[in-house]
Amino acid sequence: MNHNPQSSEGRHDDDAALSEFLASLMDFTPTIPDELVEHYLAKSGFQCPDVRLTRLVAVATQKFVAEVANDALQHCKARQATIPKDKKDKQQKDKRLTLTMEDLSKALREYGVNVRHQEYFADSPSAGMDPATRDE
Amino acid sequence: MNPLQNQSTRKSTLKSNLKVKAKKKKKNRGDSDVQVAEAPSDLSFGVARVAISKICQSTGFKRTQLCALETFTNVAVKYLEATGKSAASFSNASNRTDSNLFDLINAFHDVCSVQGFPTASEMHKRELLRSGALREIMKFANLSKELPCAKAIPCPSFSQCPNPVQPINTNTSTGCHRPNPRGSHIPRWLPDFPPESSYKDCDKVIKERKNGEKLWEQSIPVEICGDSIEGNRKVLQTNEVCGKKLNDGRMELAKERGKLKFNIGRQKEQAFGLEVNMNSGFCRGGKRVCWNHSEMNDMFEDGAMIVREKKVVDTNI
Repeated sequence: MNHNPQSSEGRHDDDAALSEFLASLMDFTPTIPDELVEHYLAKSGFQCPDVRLTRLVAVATQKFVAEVANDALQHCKARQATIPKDKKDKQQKDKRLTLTMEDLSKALREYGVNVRHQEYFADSPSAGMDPATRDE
Repeated sequence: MNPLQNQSTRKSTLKSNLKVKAKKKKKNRGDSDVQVAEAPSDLSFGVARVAISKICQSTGFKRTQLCALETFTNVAVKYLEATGKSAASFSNASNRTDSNLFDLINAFHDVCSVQGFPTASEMHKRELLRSGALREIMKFANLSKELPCAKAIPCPSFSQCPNPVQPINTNTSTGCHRPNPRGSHIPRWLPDFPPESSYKDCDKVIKERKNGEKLWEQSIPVEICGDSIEGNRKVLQTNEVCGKKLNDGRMELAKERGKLKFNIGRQKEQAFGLEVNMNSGFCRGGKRVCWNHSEMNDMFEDGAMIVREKKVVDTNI
């Protein structure tokens, strides 16, 4: 009996916070434009007259991208930390925060996305293969 | 199952292996596996790439490899599409076409299930509005700085375009919708009607032509002019035809009409001033239409003109 009014009050607070958040979405401008989000959502069959839900999807996508980029940045910094430090290299390291395929693939692997970067390009699919396997 | 896993793997590897697999041909078995990567839309992909690079820059990156940026953009686009597809499927499973917040929260649960989110183990016990994934998104929106896109996407103004193309109706207030003043029965993709002034002269002042000619419809009302009759010539009385009077709004003949002359033959017909060769034309064979005013009143019965044969009187020219 005592839990019910507390749980109901908690629910009211949560609902109020959610309604405030949805109202604030109209003031918040996500980095991904609304037109782009609407284009891809319409392409996938998502149909909703409420603009706030479109903004919610844009914010969720921005969050995903930011998390992946942050993880890739951590991998990049960790990789540079293993390199022996020199005075000359220190100044160059700050400028070398580059997003590479290696860091991106490591970051995306945690999110269940397997990205494999091709090491080299060959002129034919069978190039570099053993003659035995080539005959088969 | 993470919907992003297989698709993004294929897309990213295919994109980097484009040169290697460009010469591969499709199997003759008709397999549905497409070996050649599909090129995304140029404009939407370009805009997405700008937005992703802006987010990466805000995170702390100064430079990026082009292939890494394109792969990242592909993954983000697939994330967007997977979220929308999942929400649409949830709404369709509930016999609805429009998705709502609950469908979207369930879609977030699907997409974030691999990485995980708080209260994921109690997902089925808790209410959807108190979802941990939604809380995470709310925290991110409250804590992160606002990063507007680098360039505003130009929205085509339909008032300037002569033949505007109707965009995909996403039922949002941000879309550019052109009101259809012509009515809903006319498709919007059809061009506008030409202005009325180009084909209607209702409000225009009737201008006289060079020689004082006027259109027959715009003639002034005529009066009965019996004095100008020469001989048996008579001018058609426009106001009294068959004993009937015409309304004022109807067309009326000119006051004085010019004499009509045709080829003069041997035989003349002195009737109504028309010198017609009775052996040719429509009067051939002696059958002719003669307009004799004195006889017209007798002939006209119920407004019907009676054609009768009449002998041609030979006259000397």
